Amino acid sequence: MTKNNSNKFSLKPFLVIWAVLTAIGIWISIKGTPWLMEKSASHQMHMAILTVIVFSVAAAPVAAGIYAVQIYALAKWRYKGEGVPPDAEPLRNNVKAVSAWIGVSALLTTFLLIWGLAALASDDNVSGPNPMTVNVTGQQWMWSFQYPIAETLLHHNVESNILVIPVNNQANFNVTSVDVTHGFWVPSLGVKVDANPGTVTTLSVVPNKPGWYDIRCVELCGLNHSAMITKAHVVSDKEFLTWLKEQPASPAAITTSVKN
Amino acid sequence: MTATIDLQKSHSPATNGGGFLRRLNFGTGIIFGIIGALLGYFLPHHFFDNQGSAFADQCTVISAVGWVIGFWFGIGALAGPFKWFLGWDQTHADEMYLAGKDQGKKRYWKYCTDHKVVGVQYLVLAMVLLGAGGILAMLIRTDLISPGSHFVNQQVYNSFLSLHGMLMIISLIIAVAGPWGNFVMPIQCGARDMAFPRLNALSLWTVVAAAVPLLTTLFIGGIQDGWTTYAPISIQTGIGMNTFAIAIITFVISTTVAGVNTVCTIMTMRTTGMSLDRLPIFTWASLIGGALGLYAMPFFATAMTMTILDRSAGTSFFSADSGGTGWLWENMFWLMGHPEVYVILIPAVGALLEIATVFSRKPLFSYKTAIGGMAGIAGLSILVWAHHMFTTGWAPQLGGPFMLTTELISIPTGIIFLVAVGTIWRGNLWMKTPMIWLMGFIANFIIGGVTGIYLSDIPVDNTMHGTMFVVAHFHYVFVGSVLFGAIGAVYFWFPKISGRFLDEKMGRISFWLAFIGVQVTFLAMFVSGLRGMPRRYASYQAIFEHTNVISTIGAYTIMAGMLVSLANIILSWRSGEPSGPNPWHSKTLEWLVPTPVPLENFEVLPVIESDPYTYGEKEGARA
Amino acid sequence: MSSDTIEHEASHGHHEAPEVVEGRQRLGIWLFIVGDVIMLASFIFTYLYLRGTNTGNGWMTYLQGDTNAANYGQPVHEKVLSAGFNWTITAVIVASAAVVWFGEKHLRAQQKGAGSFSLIAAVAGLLAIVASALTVIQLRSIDEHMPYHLLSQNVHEFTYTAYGSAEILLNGSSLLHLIVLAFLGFGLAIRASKGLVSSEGLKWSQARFVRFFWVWVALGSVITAAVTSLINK
Repeated sequence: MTKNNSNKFSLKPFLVIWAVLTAIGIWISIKGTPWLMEKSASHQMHMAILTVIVFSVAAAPVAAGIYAVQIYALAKWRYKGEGVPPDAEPLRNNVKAVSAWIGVSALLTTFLLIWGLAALASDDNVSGPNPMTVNVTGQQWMWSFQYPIAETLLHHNVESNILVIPVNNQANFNVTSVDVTHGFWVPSLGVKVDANPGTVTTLSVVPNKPGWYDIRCVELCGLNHSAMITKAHVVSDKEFLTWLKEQPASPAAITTSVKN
Repeated sequence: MTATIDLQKSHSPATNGGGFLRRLNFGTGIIFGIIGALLGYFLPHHFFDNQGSAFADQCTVISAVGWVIGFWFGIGALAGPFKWFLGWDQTHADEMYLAGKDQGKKRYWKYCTDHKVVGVQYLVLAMVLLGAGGILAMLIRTDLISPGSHFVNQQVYNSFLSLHGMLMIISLIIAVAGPWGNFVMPIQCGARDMAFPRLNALSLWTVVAAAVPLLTTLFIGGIQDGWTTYAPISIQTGIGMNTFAIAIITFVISTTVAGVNTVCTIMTMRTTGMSLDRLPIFTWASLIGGALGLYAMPFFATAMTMTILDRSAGTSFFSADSGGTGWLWENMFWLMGHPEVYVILIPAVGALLEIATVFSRKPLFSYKTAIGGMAGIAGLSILVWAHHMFTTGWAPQLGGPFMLTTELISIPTGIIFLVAVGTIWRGNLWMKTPMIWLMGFIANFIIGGVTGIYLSDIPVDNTMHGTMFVVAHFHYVFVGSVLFGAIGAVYFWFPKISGRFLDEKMGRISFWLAFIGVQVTFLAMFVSGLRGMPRRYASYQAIFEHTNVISTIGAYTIMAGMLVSLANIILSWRSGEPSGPNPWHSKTLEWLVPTPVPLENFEVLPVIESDPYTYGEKEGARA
Repeated sequence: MSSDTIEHEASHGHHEAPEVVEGRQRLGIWLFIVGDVIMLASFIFTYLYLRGTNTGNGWMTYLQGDTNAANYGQPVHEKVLSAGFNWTITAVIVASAAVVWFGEKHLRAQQKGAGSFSLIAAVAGLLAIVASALTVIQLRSIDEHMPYHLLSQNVHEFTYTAYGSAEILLNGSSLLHLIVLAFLGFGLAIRASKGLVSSEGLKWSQARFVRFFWVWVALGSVITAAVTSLINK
């Protein structure tokens, strides 16, 4: 422990490791994310997928940098002798490195925040033609959907256990629960909100692709939580009206549990 | 009432006199606890008519409280306040007896005030609770091995996952701060014991008192509402919720007492010359973690009190029918819940940074930045709670501000990486097992941290919230990072408590099993989440099958790794290779006292003239 | 694991100055009070949050759950707890804190012994018991206006509104604190009578610690009374 043994650091091999890892990271971010995530059928889901890609690309060089140091350190700076290694050359602080690190992370954070706020604003401002309200009610352990529009068009109530909405039109969901808290989630539409007893929460979405999609409960609601799943069917305007007319008149709208 | 023991009188025999108090131990604690629980159950039956719908709830609450008080009485925790009240102050012999003098191994079963005994008790307790939580994890993963598996029914499945969550949270809170915050931290400060030794024993045995009703939950029907016990389902679920809630309130008493004790020890018990800028980084981490716990945990007690009242006294804090709201629970819970994550993380980071300097043979890089990073995390963590509530519908207009505070945390968290990397930088890396766990921590914490950033972004959270993605994210933090830190700390400090090394080979096998297991389990779980699998599903659609099978295989691998480390600890404690007092040639004070560490730690209190990170520098003159 | 076999030399007396010990205990008391402040803050947060949210207009209003068909489902307004009574309790608690404050001054002014501190501490403890009794009366008065529904044969089950619930939480917490204060007050009285609390050395420091906590509880009860009497309807 008498003489300081100073390990070398050469930039070139480090940069190579870092560049390779970054490239792999970026490749996985861009190619992998759309493959791994649910297919998008709305603007919100599109933004979510895009955001994951952007954040992954931004994170790749940072994570790769840390991994590169680990790999380089394990390859080059490992003490191979017997017993306790001699002390290394002390490095108490490096103001430039610390400032640069904090500066870069602050910049990255600012970027993430601006991106996030912009994406949030674009999600919140979703609007489409023919806004239609659907009342979503969660109860242990099923979903039910009421269509107030049926009262105007058909003069009776329509209630269904699957969600049917017309494509490219705005759907506004008023979500509530009659017992415990449930979580209303249509993965492909990228929207999610809790169904709280005694309160109505709202969501708006414009589905842009027809098809059958899953609806899942995402807030633990007791025994059959995992069976509280149903389907959403996004159809054309015409198909929607046909479907609506086919539905039997439901005896009375279940009043949501909001008390006055 | 003095905290330290006057040794000038120590030649008076410490075991003289018999007396009721000196016969108390863990066994009598259990006996009186059971008596208390039975009294709590039968007295209401005797005195009240049992027709109310909440009667079963009332009885279980009283019974669980009876257990806690009975256990406290039986272990001797209530003797202090009782004696204070009557003015029967402890004699010196009493204090020596409480500190475990001349009691050999028996003192580990007693209300012992010696901080080193408490540390070892915490280590064993943390391992027991981790083991129980780990078994539940294996059962959960076994159930999830196929889409519609009926390995256990849904009620049992929900109970398993709820209890798994809470057990793991409690055991990780105590996994680093318990053993090493008690055993090592006072010595690092140059203190002879904690500031309040009796409160120290109280904090340990109160965790034991909390663990029993918590585990009992499983045998009286379990709970159906997850470890987060969201209201109003927590009001609807079975009587297990009552013992669960009492267990939490009891645990909060323990963390509060421990937090006060830790902060007081560090602020007032440091030896001459141990200024705050010479304090070892683990002690700083204990200070920050302890203070944060003191802030965060009372919210949990309040929230659980309200749950108990709603269940058994007819109040409506969470019942929308008469003016309550579940959002109240969610706010209360996460006011506690997010800081608590860092109460868990910060001590583990502190321990790992100690490991980084010792095994790189270099000073800690940018000591003050490291402290600033930990303090910054702690400070910001109390302002981020609502990021757990982005999709609950509560206050959507606050989404932006909470997104800001949450993303700001990535700056101090980045500092932790900078300090770790800077310390390793051009060091002579001594790749002993503690260092290997540190490397594993760094690799995993990157993934845990980056995935947290996705979740802080509301548009992404609208997709990810409540899915397996979140589960994988926080398991990368808790298992991949905190547990790796906790195990690294065991490998690092075990020679100090036992005088023996842990076996290197077994340590490496354990590491690789755990490290590969973590990647397999939780990378596959990320995919489950991205594909849209919600968390807490007892059965799932067939599209999630492949990733779940992989996760289950990975989980068994982690368990295998943990069992190897457990076997290592048990075997090495008996017959490990002797280590001597300072096997790692470290410079913090705990390594400079003899092993085994004598009662009161120091013959003469050291005088400190530099911080303990003088590797490669001119030998600091340390007394 | 045989640390107990290591003998210390008597010459290395591990004495700490009483001032050091006192300072440490003082910090400990302050930290416990910090924990208690957060607890009270969470209670008041609950009270204000429930008032602010007023889910389904149910803060103080409930629908009649009686089996009497004529009244069934009719909204009923709960009564606000008497502010005067609440402030009376608060006044008793503040008075007890003042007694402890005065007692500590009196103790420290003594040349020797504890003077009449034992008696003063007992008076403070008694005041705490009076305040607890009044708090119990106030807690019971919440029941008077509570809605109930008939569950089965003649079993009335109360359901408190959000207001009633929050008041139960605040009063229950206050009651627990008052019991602790009574314990501390009588404990000091007994200890002073045995000479364990006196003006000598730092033997008065326990009276000081108890005073810190007592004053905080009094302050907390003033805050609670102010919040609940200003913001309730």
